[in-house]
Amino acid sequence: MHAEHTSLLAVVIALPLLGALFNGLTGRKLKNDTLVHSVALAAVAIPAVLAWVLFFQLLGMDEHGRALHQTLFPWIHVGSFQIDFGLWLDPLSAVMLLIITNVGALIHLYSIGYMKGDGSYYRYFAYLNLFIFAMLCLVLGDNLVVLFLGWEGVGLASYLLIGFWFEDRANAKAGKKAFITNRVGDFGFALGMFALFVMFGTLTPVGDGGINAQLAANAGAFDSTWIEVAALLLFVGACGKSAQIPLYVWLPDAMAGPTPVSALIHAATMVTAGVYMIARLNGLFFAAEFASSIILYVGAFTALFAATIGLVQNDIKKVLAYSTVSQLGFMFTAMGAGAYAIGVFHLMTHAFFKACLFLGSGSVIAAMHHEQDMRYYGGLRKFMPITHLTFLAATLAIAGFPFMAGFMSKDEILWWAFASERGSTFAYILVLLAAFCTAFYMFRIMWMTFWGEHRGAPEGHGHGDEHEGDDSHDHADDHGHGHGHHGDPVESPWTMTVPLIVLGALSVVGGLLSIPPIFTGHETIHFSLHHWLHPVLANSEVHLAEAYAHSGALEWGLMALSVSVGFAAFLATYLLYKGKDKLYDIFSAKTPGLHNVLWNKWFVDEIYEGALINPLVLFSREGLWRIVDEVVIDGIVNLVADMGKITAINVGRLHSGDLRASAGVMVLGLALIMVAAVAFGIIEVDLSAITSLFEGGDASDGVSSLMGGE
Amino acid sequence: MDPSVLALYACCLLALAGGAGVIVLRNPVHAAISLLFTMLALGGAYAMMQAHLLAALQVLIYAGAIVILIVYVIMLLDQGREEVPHPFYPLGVAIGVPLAVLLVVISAPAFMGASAGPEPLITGPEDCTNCESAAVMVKKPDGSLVEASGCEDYVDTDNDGFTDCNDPDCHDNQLCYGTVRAVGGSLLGPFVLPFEVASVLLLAGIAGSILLTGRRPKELEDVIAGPAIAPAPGPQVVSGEGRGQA
Amino acid sequence: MIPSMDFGLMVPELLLIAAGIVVLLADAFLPREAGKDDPRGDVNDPRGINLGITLVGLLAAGAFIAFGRGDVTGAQETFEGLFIVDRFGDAFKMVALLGTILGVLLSDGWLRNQRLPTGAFYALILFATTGMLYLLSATDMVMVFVGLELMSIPLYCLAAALRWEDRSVEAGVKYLVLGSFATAVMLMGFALLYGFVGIYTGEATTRLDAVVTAVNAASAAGELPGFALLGGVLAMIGLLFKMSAVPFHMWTPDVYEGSPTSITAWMSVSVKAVTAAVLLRIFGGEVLDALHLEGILWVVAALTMFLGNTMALTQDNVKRMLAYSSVAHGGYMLVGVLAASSAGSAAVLFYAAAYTFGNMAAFAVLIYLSRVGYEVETFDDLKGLGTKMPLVGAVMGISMLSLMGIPPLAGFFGKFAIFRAAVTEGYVWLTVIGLLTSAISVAYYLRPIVVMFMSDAPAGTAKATGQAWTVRVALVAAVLVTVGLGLMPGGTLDWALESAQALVAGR
Repeated sequence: MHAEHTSLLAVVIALPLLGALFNGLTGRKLKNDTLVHSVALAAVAIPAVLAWVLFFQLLGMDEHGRALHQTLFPWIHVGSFQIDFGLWLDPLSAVMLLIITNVGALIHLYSIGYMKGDGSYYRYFAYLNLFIFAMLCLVLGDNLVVLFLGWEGVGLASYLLIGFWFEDRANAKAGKKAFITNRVGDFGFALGMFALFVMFGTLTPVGDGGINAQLAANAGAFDSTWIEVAALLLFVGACGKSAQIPLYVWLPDAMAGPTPVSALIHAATMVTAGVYMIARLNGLFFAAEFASSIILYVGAFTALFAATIGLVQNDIKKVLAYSTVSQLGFMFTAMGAGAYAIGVFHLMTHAFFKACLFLGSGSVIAAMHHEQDMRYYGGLRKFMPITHLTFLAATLAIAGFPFMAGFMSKDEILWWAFASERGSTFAYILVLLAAFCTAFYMFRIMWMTFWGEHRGAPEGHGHGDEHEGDDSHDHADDHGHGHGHHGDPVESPWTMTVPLIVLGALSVVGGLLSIPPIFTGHETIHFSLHHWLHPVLANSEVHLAEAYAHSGALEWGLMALSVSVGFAAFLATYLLYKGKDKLYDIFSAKTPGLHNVLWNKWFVDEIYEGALINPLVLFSREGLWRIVDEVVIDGIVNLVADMGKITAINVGRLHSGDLRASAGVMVLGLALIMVAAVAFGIIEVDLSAITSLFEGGDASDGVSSLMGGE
Repeated sequence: MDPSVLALYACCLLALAGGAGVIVLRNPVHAAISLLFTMLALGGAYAMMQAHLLAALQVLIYAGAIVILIVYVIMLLDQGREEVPHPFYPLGVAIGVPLAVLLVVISAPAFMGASAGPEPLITGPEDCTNCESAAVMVKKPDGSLVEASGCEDYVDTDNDGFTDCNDPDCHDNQLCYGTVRAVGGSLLGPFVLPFEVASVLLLAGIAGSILLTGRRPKELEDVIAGPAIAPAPGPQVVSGEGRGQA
Repeated sequence: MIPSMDFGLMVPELLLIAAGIVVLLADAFLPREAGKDDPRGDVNDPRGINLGITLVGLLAAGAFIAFGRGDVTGAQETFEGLFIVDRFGDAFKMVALLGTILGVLLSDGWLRNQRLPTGAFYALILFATTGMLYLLSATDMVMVFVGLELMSIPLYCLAAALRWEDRSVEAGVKYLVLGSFATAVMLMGFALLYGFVGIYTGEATTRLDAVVTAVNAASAAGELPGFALLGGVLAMIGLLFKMSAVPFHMWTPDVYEGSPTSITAWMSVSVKAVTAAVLLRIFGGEVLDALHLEGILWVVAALTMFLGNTMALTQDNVKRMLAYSSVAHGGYMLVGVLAASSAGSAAVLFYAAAYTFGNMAAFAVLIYLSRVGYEVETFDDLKGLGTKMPLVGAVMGISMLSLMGIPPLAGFFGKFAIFRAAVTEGYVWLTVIGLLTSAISVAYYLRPIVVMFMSDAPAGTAKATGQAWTVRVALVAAVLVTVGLGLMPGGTLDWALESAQALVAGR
């Protein structure tokens, strides 16, 4: 694919970086919040406009040549390894670019209201701009190294923002957890890149000679085992970044950060990086059939598993966090089933409705004076009508109400999981159950938060003393309020409601961007997302031929099933929670065992703690330290020194065994090298030379010849 | 065996014995004397190898000056009367002795000549390889002086049984191995650069002694009692403390 | 015969020697003045004259190397080939000089504070740097030996500079004794190689290229005697000691902990870089195979990476942690030495540069903290300082991340280049060990960051103990280069490759 040159891309990624630098370097001195947020917002809003310009530029190009390219500077040149800092815009990255800049701009706007009065206002916006920059590197990079740069950059920004209120130990701990978990994933990603370079001799997935093109041209030329290995390694990286089993543990804790951050980073953009990476390397994952099935099942299991945990959480952000993990599981299910376009489609709709949900929850949390426990909410509908309506729209979208955004994309995923040649009935059942749980916990939030009677905080409920777990953050101090003594909750300011309205509207209509073929007679209509992405994914589409052999009735039937599952979930919440007083107790009272398991998140943290972290700490402390250092090294030192003590009366400091031991270890090393050299026959020992000395004769010749005398 | 070779070996063994004495003897003065033996024996070994200048310098500088300096230091520090505890390390012996034997066995062929290695390309009494780089004027049989271009010029010009290098009658040509001129020519000829760098090294040594012995800051003097480099009494605290406490 | 002498090639070395002498004289003859904060008139170098001379000398030497070599691209020899100037040596000279400049900047305030004789101190630094430069131009065993000693002996003295502190004296004495031991081992090796060349070719010479040629020829003919191999092993061990490669590393933690911090910082980077270059010059290429040193170096590199990192993991003292981790970094450079292709040599060069600046930045933070009143011994002493001083904390964070090998910082590309060269040369398992051990390093490099940012800031304000502008300059320079090399390594990598090709072409 020949790419046209553009200069706009550099501007698009440079502006957020400049914004971050400006605020980071001058923000503290300026002490001018208006300037800070104006700069930060402009640094994202202008790229958002440019993104549309670029989009229309792409639209105007020939369908199969839609790509814009710009090389910023030559970057790493090591031998045959030539990497330039290049940017690449094609339909896939254009979708991501639009989501990141536009949703990002909305969330910047929202943050202006949400973060008002925070002591580190400038720092927050600097980090947020930095995140946008890194994320744009990730999606726009024309090779995996630039992608990896962004990959690490978003991790860093996320780490900084999670620990933003780092005075709070729990937040700092959450930041650390996110960082370390992601290192595990990054290790896999780095190894995967290595494998790719060895196989393909390039790390550029796109364009002529890119990895996708090479595979499309001649997939048989590459060792399928290595392709599987590379795909699995990269998927490990995706698991870390996109919070899939078993590396998802950091994401729920990451909710310690400010809520807009959760919306932007931990829902709409960063966590979808793994999905984007798979779509970017669709040729590779298409060729890796075994890895795809692993992805399918990991995705499906994660979807169900996280959704079950979400059923019982009382912290509103916790529920949404597990919901995010679960929805990411849906996306990976689509990727595993070979439905790359559908996965990206769900990524997009999820960005709309989950950002809306998080921002809505932030609006509620702000109104409730940073109380996150839903048991103290209730009946907020009448206080916060806009938040309620937009939240309801997003809830209906995620729950799969017909023709809302989430319905379109999720139903497609279910259908592909069932009907694709890479899907399976089992995976379908898993995601169907997950869909039920999704609808259940979302309506549970609605009942506990917006509907019913307003409960408010009980008398004497102080901050932090009754909170479940250690992860709710207490920065209410910044706002200088006590708790429970401040009238009714009020609707948020316009900076917060405008983004809610926009995202709520997108949650309703966003699905129309890609109407499933069943509604249009198995033909993709011209302006669908599916069609838009086709040039990028053309060579990797799994065919549904077998599935279409079934009658359309099957698809209609399955769709009806998933819709009715959503309604069933709504009914269940209606029966369980409508008008109940202490409604949060119902679930735990009826099934205490199951509740306990779910409440404790299947004990995964405890299992990790017990099975991985503790042994590792034990091993490094007790094993490595004790054995290697204390036993081996100190043993040698002590052995030498102890033997010395037998005769030594008073060992002076500088004459002590330690210096000898140091020299002793050197000699020991020398001895071992010599012994090894002789043992392996590298150095031959010739005893005849020794014996010749005692035989006399020619020995003296040798000496004198060396000495040059007579 | 040639008596001079026998004497060479004797000197070498004496040097080794002296070295061992430095390690084993407990009285510092005794150890210093043992070092003196080593230095002298090395001088003897040089002499046996025809390196007469080196032998003289060895005796003058090492035996005469440096060892005496060491003895002075020992006496000034008042360590002479005390026997330094010298523990015996079985493990050290267990590793060290076999290693020494192994080293000797492996490197013996180097000193045994060609028995293990290939035949030397140039052998014989005229082999003056060590002189070749110095500028040498040799007297040809016809009496003319020409610049030597290699070892083949080292001939017995006047047929008195001595090659020119070692001919006591041939004073102008005493440029060979071990002579003052040979050493000097070597140091100011091909090896002039390392020779000069070594003088920078001496300068560095002087700077080092300024640093290590200069006046101590006033306000710190009160705090610290006792000589600066006196070994701290008591149990060893040399390493360990930072390394521990994981 | 007086050899041809072209002093024009030796200008940087001569400049440094001259600066050293001038500093010594200036220190002796300049009057001691009463400083602003020192009425007793006991201040050394109150106007920074010694510092100025030293920096001018170092900068002039660096400038000459950078701009004064003319258009000659090939290697130039003088003193009958005892002294060689090529791009490879020049590149490492630049790295060593930059490390030295940073080391001098870090020393300044501390020296005034301790009232040490600055003249002698700087002269020693300059002479040691001269030794490094000669070492990098050495093509002869005698020159290697003399250069190594000229580098080492000042270091022994500098390690003991704080002579009223037991730890510093201990460091100096240990370094001296063990260093001399290693030098003796190396000399033994040189002697054996000299003997071998004399016997094998009939021409006794100390020239390294002659030794290498003879070894290669004898090896090809299958008649390389055991003692020549032994000579190679022993010669290498002397250099491995300077690299503090396991098992010749025992001196490192004690010496690094006891020495003045700025000296520790400087030695841990520059000495390693120079020694790695010498190893590459002597043992790079087929002579490594011929001497059967490959297997030994493989094991040593693996052990060094592994033990260096695991030991660093268990330290509570920050300087000791950095000391052990510097052992590990030596191990990574050894991997590059093993893969002595032009890519491998270039990788060592880049790694040395990246490590120089990354490590210098970390030490600069420690020194800066002690300047402003927070004497750092253990990790606990760092508690909350990042929160209190975010920029200093950020510098520490960047340097730690770079040392870890996190992109996009200099350290990442260093590791990347090394491992890439190693894989290309077939050292796959060594690369795996390297990757795993650098994963270990993440654990201990994260600790300072965590401690600095995730603890409560210490209450109250500490008393600053002296001016710190030189430290600030060093700090900023080191961290900027670390970030700069990471963001745009392209040009430097190309430069390293060109320099390395000069070496490989000359082989």
